[in-house]
Amino acid sequence: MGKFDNHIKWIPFIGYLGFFLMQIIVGLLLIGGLMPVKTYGLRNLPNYQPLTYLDLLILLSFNIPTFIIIVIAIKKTLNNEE
Amino acid sequence: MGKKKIILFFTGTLLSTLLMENFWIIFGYQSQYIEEWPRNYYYNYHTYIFWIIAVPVIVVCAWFILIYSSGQIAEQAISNGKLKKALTASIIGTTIDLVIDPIVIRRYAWLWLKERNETLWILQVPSTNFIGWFIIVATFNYFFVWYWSKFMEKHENWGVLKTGASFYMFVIGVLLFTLLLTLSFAILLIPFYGVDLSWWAWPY
Repeated sequence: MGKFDNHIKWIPFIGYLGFFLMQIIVGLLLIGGLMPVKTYGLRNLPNYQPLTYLDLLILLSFNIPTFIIIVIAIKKTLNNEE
Repeated sequence: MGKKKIILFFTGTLLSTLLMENFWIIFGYQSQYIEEWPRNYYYNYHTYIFWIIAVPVIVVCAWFILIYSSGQIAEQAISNGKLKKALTASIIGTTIDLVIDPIVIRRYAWLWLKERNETLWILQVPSTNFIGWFIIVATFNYFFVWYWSKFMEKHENWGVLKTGASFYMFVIGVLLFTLLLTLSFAILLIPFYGVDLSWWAWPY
């Protein structure tokens, strides 16, 4: 494995988990009413029901299969390192 | 993944995003003039700073990160089988989109414009969005592995221009394949149009 490959092998995990974490933060900010929503000038906006903690939890649970895949991938990457 | 491989992957996803997203947005935009054309979606002008035509730059980067991450994680997790790896990558890419879309539409970062009876809805997002994601992640990763291991092996002596040109032509082929397959699924789902698979009340 080259030096460059060695440096970037964790990037996919950081990329995926970063996106996941970002959605948790955005979700929590939306629930708390702390996320600015700019809608001026936009017409016929859908009136979505506000997000709740339960909604967020259910949405995040859709990623359980992916987490299982990620754990397998991390284990294999660590094994290869050894 | 070497530097050359990453550059090709990034520029490939860049081209895919720009062609695919701009096509859907501009095609859907015409619906305000031609009633029969399907309306799709657009990005909120107030939420993003840098744009490439109708697509925010951050969306282009997100496409790259998601397709690349899904493909690489699947590559590490699954020992053999190109198709198995591509389908695993699709599951990863689609499940993260199942979280992103329902949250982001509540920020009005992008807006879906279809009427309820114009598609099958999953979590108040058109099902074609998730189907399209599933297909593009699978086909792009499958194509890239094939291109790099089989095609490039036979053409090692090709220069940058020839390599680039052949790669981007294949990318356009992948996009057309994705487009046709997504539209085919959209037609197959016609009996279910108007159904909203979510626990929220319909927002319109």
